[in-house]
Amino acid sequence: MMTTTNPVVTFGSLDLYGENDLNGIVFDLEMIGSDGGLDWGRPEAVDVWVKSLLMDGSLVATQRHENRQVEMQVRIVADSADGLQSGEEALFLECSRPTTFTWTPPDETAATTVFIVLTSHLSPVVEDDLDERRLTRTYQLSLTCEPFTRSVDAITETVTPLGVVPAAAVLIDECTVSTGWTGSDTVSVVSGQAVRVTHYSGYVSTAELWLQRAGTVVVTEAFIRVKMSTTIGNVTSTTLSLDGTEYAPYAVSAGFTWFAVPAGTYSTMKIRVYGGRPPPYPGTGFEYLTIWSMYQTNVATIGTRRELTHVVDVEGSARTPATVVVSHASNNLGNIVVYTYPRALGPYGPSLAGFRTGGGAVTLDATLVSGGREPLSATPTYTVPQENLPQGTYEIVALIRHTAAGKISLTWTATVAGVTSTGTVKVTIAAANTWQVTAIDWVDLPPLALKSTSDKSIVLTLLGPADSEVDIPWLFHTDGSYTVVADAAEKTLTIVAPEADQQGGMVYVGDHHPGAALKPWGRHQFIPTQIGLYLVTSGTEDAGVTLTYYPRWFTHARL
Amino acid sequence: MPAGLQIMSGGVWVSAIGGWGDCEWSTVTQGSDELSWAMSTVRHSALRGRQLVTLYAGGIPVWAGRLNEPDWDAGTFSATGLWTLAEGYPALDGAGVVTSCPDDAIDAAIAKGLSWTRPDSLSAAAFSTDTQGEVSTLAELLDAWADSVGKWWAVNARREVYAYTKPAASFQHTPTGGSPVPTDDGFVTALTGRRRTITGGYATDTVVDVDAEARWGHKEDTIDLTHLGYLPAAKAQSVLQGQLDKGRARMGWGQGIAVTNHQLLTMGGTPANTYAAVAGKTLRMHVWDDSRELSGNTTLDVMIGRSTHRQDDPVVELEPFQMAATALPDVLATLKGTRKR
Repeated sequence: MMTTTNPVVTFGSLDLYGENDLNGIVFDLEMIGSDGGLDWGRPEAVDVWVKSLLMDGSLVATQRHENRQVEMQVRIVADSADGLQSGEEALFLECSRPTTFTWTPPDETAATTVFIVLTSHLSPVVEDDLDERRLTRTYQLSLTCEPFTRSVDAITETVTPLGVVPAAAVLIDECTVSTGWTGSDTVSVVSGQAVRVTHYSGYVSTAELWLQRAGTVVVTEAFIRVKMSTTIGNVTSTTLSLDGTEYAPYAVSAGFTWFAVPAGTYSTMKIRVYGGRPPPYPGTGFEYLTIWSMYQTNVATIGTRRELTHVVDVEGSARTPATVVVSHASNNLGNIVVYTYPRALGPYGPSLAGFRTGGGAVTLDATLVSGGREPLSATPTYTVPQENLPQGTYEIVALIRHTAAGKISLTWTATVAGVTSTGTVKVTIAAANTWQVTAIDWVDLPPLALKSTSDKSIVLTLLGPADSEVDIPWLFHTDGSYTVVADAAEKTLTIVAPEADQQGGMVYVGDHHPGAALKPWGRHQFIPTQIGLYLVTSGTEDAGVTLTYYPRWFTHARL
Repeated sequence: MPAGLQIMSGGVWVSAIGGWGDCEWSTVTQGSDELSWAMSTVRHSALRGRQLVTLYAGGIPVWAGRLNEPDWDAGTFSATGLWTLAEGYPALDGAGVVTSCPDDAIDAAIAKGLSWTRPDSLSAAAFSTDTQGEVSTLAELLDAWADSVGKWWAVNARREVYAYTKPAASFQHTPTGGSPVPTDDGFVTALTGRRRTITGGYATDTVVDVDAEARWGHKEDTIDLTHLGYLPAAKAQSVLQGQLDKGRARMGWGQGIAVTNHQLLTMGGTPANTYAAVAGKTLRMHVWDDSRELSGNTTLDVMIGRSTHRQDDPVVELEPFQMAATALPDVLATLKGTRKR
């Protein structure tokens, strides 16, 4: 038998299901349900109809949602007309301004849902001409709310850097033979280098692939690192199962996925990907999951301790803005880059450092983000497999410096299948011999549309003048968003999400706005169920990140 | 589609002042044209008229201009592109003497407060050896010089002034039915220019596009070049020929297109970045139309003359260069001779 309690409904400071008082005068408020036309409203979807190459029909995409309209009737019951008037006064004092409306359903397992009211309106309703004699008045309350509701409490997720020196990775499997491997479909070895499961799917909207390794492994390190890729588009879930227990990715970067796992002895390891390729991309018939290697590692990044990569679980059913705090206990953060991106981008990670295949002489320097620097005049070259570059628009951004302030010319090229796209831009060097995060250009990648089964790699180069150097370059996919603060001489960075009373959001370093040092200011959206996070702090190793957000829901909250 | 639009006005991020939205912006062949957005806010020094405004998509600037005096009651803000400022500066050099050298005129205007930068030379040569007392505006000088070398001049979103020729196609348009509609508004096969002679008298020169005449017959227009001072015949003819070559000797267009990145692809076949589909880029249209080019090509490479973008909207509106003037502001600008060419 389920225990039920009374529902709880509040509007601003008023209890819409109980006794209230205004200046000592008492009255009861009662939200009327079925007879009162209670309407929770709905987020109004803004759909865009797109003509396509199809002979008939159009493609529809939902761009965003508009505000919802919540309607209800509220009855005031009192001992006197004074009480009725006070009830009306109290209700109207809450109207016409931002406030909240909360609803707790009667079941004991129900969570409280908060509607974020942007404005509200009141109008009298005369139901029965005997109401005044019964000391009852009824009003229509119309609430214009944000499209999605939220939970009462914000969720805070803390990403603490390990703060350990990377040790040598311990081999689990080099994946050069298929012995011991089984899969959801046909398992084969690709070019003697990787194990692959191939699934023929035709034109489908979802696909699931897995590869399982049988064999005893003693896990002593904190992470299992899998070098993997898949041609399934729009990956929604990647998991590693150790003897049946599933783990979600801890970090994804440069073709590697790390899973945080407990120490122990395991006899089966299973990698599973799940996703779908939404229209209009045509199905190619074949979907692959390919694993090149599995190692145990004590760190979850191929970068240095000045970088942090992590996959954040996002609760809720609708996207939500989040507040991000980057901090270090004792060191200033330096140049800060915060990048969040949808996990649907799959095995993509923004850093190009792990894909470097050529260029000039690298000077090692442990104070730099990548651990070294090289001349831009010697054309640093990066080779990225196409699965690690989901199709789209990217920003080429790099941490560079030059011996003199002023404008310098930078040239980028991207080549695949013999076709090169290129661009030259002039960027401003603000100060001599000072590392700066520089947005170079936009590039649509890959330069040629590639079949999802293609094993081609895209070769990227950068070229700058003499006396210019690069520490680390990035490709930021524009489905994500990044924020940069230059040379922060503070120990904390706070990116505040837009709220009703600070509609543009805000950024603070330490206790103040960074002013011109903030460029660009990103829009960090947290989309359920997971987002990728990539952080750079050039001034310190082992910075930590805290993400705070309210889970957002369609109408009723779960948490 | 790139997300993350932010506006910086007067060195301050507008988001730090308050919430804003309904952002719309357009570009023309001379660079950023118009930008508008709405926000309800108290007055702020960074939002006073004449402040420098830049629109960023992520870290890339996509529009730059100067803020017009805001309508505080309505909460609407608009800004005008940096290229239009050239109309407000006379073509003088650093000493205040009339000049017809584009580089000198630009540098002097920058020194006086024009918010451009000039990273490269446009031309270090005097356009006219004797201006004969005429003082053209910086815009008129740059227009004439650019025509004479078959280029367009523009100020990009990084505030750099530069000149360019019609580039190779960077976008292709997948047709969803119908073909572009040509119109002969603005189309000519011959241009006659009236110029000053070395003695201060007047002379006229005519250039003709022979291929266009053969195809469509004779249609003529007159251009007044007397504001540039003395021009030898060859120079005047190069200005007129440049205008014909840039597109006046071919049929114009009666309508633009509205596309998303499903219909606008890169030349590599991937969905295009609609924010990068700006005026000055070239669009390949996969139709065969013999009203352009007269070259036997089976595709049509048309330069974008105007692009209009909206925040959160996957649709970009593109008008081809040589669009017929139908909107009143464009008609007035054509009559005044300041229509973007």
